Amino acid sequence: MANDKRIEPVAAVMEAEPYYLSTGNEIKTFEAAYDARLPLMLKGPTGCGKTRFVEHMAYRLKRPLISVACHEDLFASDLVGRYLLKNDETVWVDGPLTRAVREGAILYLDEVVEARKDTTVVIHPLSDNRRVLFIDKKGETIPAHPDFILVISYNPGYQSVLKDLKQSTRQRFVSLMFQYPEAEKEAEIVSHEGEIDRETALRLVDLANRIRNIREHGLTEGASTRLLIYAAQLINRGVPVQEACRTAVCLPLTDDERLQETLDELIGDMFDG
Amino acid sequence: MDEVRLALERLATADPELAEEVGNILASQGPVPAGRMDLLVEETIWGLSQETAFGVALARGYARLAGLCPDEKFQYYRQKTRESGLLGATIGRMMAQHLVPVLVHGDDGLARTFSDVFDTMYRMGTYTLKGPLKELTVLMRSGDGASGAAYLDLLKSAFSLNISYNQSLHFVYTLPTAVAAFAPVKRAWQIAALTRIVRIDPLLAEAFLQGKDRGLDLLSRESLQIFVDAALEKFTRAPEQGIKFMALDSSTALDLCRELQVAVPLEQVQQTLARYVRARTGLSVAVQPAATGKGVSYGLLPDAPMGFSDTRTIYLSGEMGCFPSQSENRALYMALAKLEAGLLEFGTHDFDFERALDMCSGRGLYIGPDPVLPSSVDQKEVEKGSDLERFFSLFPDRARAAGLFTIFEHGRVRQLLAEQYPGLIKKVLPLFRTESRRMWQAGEGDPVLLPLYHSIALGAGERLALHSPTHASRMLKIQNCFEGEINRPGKGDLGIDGPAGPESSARLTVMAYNMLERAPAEGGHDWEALNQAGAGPLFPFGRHLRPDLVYNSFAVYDELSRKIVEALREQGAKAYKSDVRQRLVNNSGCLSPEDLQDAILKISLDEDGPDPDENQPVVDLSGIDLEGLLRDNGIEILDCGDVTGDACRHPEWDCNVGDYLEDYVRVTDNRIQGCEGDFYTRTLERHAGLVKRMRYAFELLRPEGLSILRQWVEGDQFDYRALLDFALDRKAGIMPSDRLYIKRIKQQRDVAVLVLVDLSRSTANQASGSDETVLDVEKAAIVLLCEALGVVGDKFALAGFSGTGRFGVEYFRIKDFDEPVGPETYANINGMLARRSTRMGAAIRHATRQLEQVAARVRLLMVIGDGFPNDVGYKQAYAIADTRKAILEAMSKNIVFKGISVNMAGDPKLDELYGNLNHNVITDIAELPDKLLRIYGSMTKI
Repeated sequence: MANDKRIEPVAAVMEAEPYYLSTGNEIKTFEAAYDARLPLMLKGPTGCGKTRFVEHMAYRLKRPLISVACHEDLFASDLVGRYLLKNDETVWVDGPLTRAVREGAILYLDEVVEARKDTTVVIHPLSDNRRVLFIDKKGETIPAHPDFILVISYNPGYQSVLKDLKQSTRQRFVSLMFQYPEAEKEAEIVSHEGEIDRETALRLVDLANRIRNIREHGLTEGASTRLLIYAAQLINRGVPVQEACRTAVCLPLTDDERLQETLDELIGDMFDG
Repeated sequence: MDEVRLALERLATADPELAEEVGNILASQGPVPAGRMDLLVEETIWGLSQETAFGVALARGYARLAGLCPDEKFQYYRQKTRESGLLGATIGRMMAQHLVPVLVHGDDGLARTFSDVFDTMYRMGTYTLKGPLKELTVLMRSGDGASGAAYLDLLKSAFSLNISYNQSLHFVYTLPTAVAAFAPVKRAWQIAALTRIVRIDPLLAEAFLQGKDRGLDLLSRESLQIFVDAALEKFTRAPEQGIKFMALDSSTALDLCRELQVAVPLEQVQQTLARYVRARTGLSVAVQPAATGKGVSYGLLPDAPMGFSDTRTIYLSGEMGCFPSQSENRALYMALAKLEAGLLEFGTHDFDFERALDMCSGRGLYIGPDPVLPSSVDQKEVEKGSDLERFFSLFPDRARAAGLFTIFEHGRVRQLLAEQYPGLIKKVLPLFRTESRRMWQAGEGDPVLLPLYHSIALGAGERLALHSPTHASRMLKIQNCFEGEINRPGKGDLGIDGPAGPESSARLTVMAYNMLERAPAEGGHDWEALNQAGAGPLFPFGRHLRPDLVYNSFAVYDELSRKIVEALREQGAKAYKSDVRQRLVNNSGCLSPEDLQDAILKISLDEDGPDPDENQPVVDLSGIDLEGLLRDNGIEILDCGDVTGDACRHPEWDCNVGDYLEDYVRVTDNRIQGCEGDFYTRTLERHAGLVKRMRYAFELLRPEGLSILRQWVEGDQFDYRALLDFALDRKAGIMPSDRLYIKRIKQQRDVAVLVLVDLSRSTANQASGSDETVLDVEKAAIVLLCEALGVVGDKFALAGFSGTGRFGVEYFRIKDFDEPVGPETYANINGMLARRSTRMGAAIRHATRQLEQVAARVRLLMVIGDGFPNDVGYKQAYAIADTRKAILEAMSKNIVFKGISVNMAGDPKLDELYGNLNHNVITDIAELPDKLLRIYGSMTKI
């Protein structure tokens, strides 16, 4: 008979506060939603701070955070758990979702559209007033821990028809919209995270805004805050500014040579030496 | 004068019309020396007696020479025409026609060469004369004597060869065409190269002309010489290879050409530059060659380096060959574009005349040698033209004012660029400083303005050495003024926070102009010369301002904003024209009352200085009917609240500019007015046979198959192959895979289709061979399609479009995706009416937006139309380009597009419109119902 045993340790509450600069009243909204135990959906382009926000909130709310990066081979069983063979015995191992439900953690499903359709089925009963998890392999129904909350993130940028959330899923979540922060704030974030002076950070942000100008010329997305932070970190470690921008901002964005050329020119103009 | 009159009277007895023409030619010239008129009449009459055309040619020739050329030439003309005339009237006519420009524009030597060449060609055959000599006349008339001489040399060489009749006939055609195609600046030495080649072998010449089109024309004089040397050397060794080489038909030739080629044509960098400017400024700016359309400015040669811009376009020379290497030339292009982009970015083209005057008078500055208050000048200044032109017209010497303004404006922009783009300035300025030093040493440019440009516009540390110390001190003073003005701490124009605007440059211009005016001009300099053509570039690389272009590109908006500002003034409110115009441009010709309010408030803030404590508007605008004012001036009122509601805006692709016009078209989104009736059921009855067949065919389209997914983690059955692996793995002690199942999933047909119908006026026409209109048949086809889609179960929507003008595109929803087919759909289809025009691009963009929101694996957009798009300001190539662009946009969003043209014969332009694989033509509209179903069926077959 199957052994019911957890082998993973209990997820821990974060000790240090992850840096996050609020750009609106998203913190208040999140707290309110958490208070009402409403599931949340974070929308926004890549690298604009969705994941960091969840980490920050987990720290603020003193809840452990379990993050799952979704991908197209992610099955429901990867979330819920499965039987494994161990010394000719089958052992049940909880998946991250089950753990979070039992322990009352915040479960963060990053880029949820990437996951297989069947995963949505398991999160549906968790994301409405039932707040239960069915484990059909075990025939078990677990009521969610009172502190459990589900957060998913979603990038409307690559809205392929194949990868859009169904209305039935969408309408189970309250949504927070994220954008790249306004220049001043973005610069503050870049300068804090990349540990560079504000002046250079402002220039980096300015560069990103100009790159966003030529989105229609073949860039699928503009330069994200994350890339800017990478550039800042390179600069901080002594890489020349232009070089850092090229490595961290231009090259990751596109493979198109002519676009690269334009971006190169821009960088050459905006940064001295 | 009597002599002329009498002579003309005599001529009139022979040919009155000719006499009148001769009179007109003579009137445009100086006085005619005695005796010439008699000769003119005698010779003309002699010519007429030979052949009318000969006589006419003689009369025109003599008339053109009569007042202009010395006696010897006049006599020479007589001698030559007589000699040729005796050989035959046609020969005589050729001589009489083509000798004239040679005599007028060339020297004695050239005339003798001409006669020599003429004889040679005559000996080859009379047929060789006409074409080649015509081109010579064109060259001589354009004042290009050097090319003319070279061309004569070429003709002589070509026709002295021992060649067959066919070859000479070929030359008669190719030589003049080739010479006409050479770029004017390079023509003389390119002809010389061709001559050199022709002498060796006519076939080689042919190859050279082919090579020219493939890239030899980009070579400089020296490089071309090197290339031709190499080709000739090859030719002597192996003629065939030499010819291939010359025609750039071998890889070694291409390599050599590429190596030698230093000039960069603009087309090579155009897209790169435009993308760069777009990225940096965020504006839609095109980069175009200066020679096309906008013409040559200030006497610059079309291929000399130059750069200027208006609000939408940066103009650069068509080819850049200033430097000895390609990369340097490319860099120069980039540098020019970067600096011009600065003008666009920092508002040079938003210069406001009135604001400039206010700024000047605010400082007690006067314009001109006599102190005139700007306010009194206001009355007499020209009303027409751009604000900058009006500003320059205040000065007695406009050219000097324009030069000074350019210096300060380039200087102002340089300062601003240096703050934002330190890398740019560091890279670009040295290039310009070197050039201005070179110009100074070569004595080019203007002796007063160039040093100022060097120090102020280019911010060079060292000064160009000036001869007179007083002048040098004045320079220094002007430069200090500039730095004081531009770097004034905190406040810019009229106390607004922020960088100084172009009006500061205007104020500086007034100051500097007065300073220079009081001093005598140095070195006998002639200001007038600046205005004249051929003066060469004033500043390095021919950068200059073109206020006239700025005006032309926005003349309509400029005029409108002037009217509004005047109307506002009558009502006691003041606004600057440039502020209003800017808002007009941004909103593509619409304004909201709030826009006007902003423009008015901006000034009152400027005047009182910004006061953060004061939250109330300084001017009470409640008494002014801003909306009425806008309506009176024929401006569409932009309702800010409108955008989220039924109307929305779409961009339009302007193929002339090569960019999108943002928010250019307004599309209103309505539900169509339904109309009860039995059209739907009647149609089904009428096409009962077709409906039956269709049902059967579409039933088959419905998916029934199941697809099998193997090695699944869960499923309805074990996958035995995987089970075997599992057992083996376990035996081997390897952790087996848990993917042991087979899963059967139902194949889904997930298609959404939007059918967009053109409801233009022409659909009310009778379909050929029937008493129904085109629209009736279209409606019938749609009814059947509805039925078919119902059978197969695809999601679908129906919509129509029509409209007039870019603000009035109407989009009618007939059936939405999520609504079932029912009585309302029937009524709506029945209610489709032929309306107005077709602005197809906007309609497709709107439909795309609707279709995008539908979740489906395959999304399909079908457009049924009866011709080409056509609307106000939306015709032919422009309309086709925009529609095509809209289709490409849709396709890039993963939407499959199909265009169906009915009631028209096929047209190759339809391929341009829809793309050759994306459309069908149904000439006989009666076939539409049947064919529409077939097309749909075949497109969505699994």
